[in-house]
Amino acid sequence: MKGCVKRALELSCLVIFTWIILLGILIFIENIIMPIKINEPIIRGIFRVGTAFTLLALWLMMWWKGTILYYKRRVLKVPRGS
Amino acid sequence: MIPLILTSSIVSALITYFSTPIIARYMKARGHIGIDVHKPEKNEIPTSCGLSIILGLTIGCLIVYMGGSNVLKIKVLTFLLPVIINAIIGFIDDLKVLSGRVKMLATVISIIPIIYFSLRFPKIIILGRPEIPILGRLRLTIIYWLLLPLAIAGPANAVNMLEVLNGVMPITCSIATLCLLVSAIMLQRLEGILLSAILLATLVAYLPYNKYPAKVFSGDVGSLSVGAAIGAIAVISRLEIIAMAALSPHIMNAFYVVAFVKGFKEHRKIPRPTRVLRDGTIIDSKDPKAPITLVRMIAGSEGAKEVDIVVSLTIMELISALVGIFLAFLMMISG
Repeated sequence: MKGCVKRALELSCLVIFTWIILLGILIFIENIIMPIKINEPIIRGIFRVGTAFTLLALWLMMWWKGTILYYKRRVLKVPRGS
Repeated sequence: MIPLILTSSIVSALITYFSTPIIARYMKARGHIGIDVHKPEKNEIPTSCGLSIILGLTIGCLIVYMGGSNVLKIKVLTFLLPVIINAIIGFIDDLKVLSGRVKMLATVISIIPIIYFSLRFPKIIILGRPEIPILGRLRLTIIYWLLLPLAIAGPANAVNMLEVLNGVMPITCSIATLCLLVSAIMLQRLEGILLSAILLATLVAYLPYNKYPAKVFSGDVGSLSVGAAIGAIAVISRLEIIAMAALSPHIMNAFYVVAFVKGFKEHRKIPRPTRVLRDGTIIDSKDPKAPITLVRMIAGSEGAKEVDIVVSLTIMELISALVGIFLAFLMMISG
């Protein structure tokens, strides 16, 4: 019981950390990417959507890598470096 | 408005509470049963009993439809149609197993009523520019419309994927709905209060039958439609970010499975991530081809009893709901 509650709490921390990073990415897009002035509307659209999608894809990748790392270290208990 | 909320919620709860055993008896008589794989006895339990949730929800919404204003009528209809579409998809899946991809595509289609009502009544059903704390309404209009098809399909399938243990769906979803209800009260979203109250009442009424040890299984008809209902409340009441936070455990689990199997596959065709020992302990299967799921991670190599995993998932859901309420608080103070 104790072990599984502990892992549930750790996973909650992992997901809260992930949401904080997502919030940071959204703030970055809104305050840094969106105000960049590009006169051509098509290029502006591609730039905004492309940057946002790239950042969101990187966020998802980070989340996945973090999960794999957690699973190996805390669930399978694989020693570091192996 | 309070009498309408109370009447529709109480009637929904009563209908769900009294119709569940009737539906369970009918399903058992028709041989529509599922095996409780996490119990050593492998009990036979009547499935698709989530129909009672749909019944309660529909009648609660009809009461609001009859007693509410025109604006509320449109909002209730916008909410109910995707839920019913998902219930039909879920029921078909319960009778004749659909492939993961077909199920996902079918649930994506259920966003159509929301888009239709948004185009028909743009001042009542407002889509685009989601609200987040600190920043307010985002300017990510194109991305919002690109991700909109997942607004119903995402939560519907995520709730369906985590519904693997007794009582997990009604417990976690009622906590998530309670979070939406509190957030809607804080942000004064009337339709959010009303729809969350009805959904919460039906889930609480359904819980005694599905809690550990389960007497009934919801089936995909129950889990897909409850997930769709949470997604529809989020979109209609503009509580998308709060719903995302509240459904964190479900989203997390779905993301792990989809990322692992690299797409949407029917769970019966994927190796099982956990196995059950003779004493009922659920343990990591250690199969490298099996997906990493939330239950697999919580059970771990040393294993855990089903009820302990349900408690752990409930704790995770409570934390996620508190994060959701905190986000609503930030949205409230930032205006």
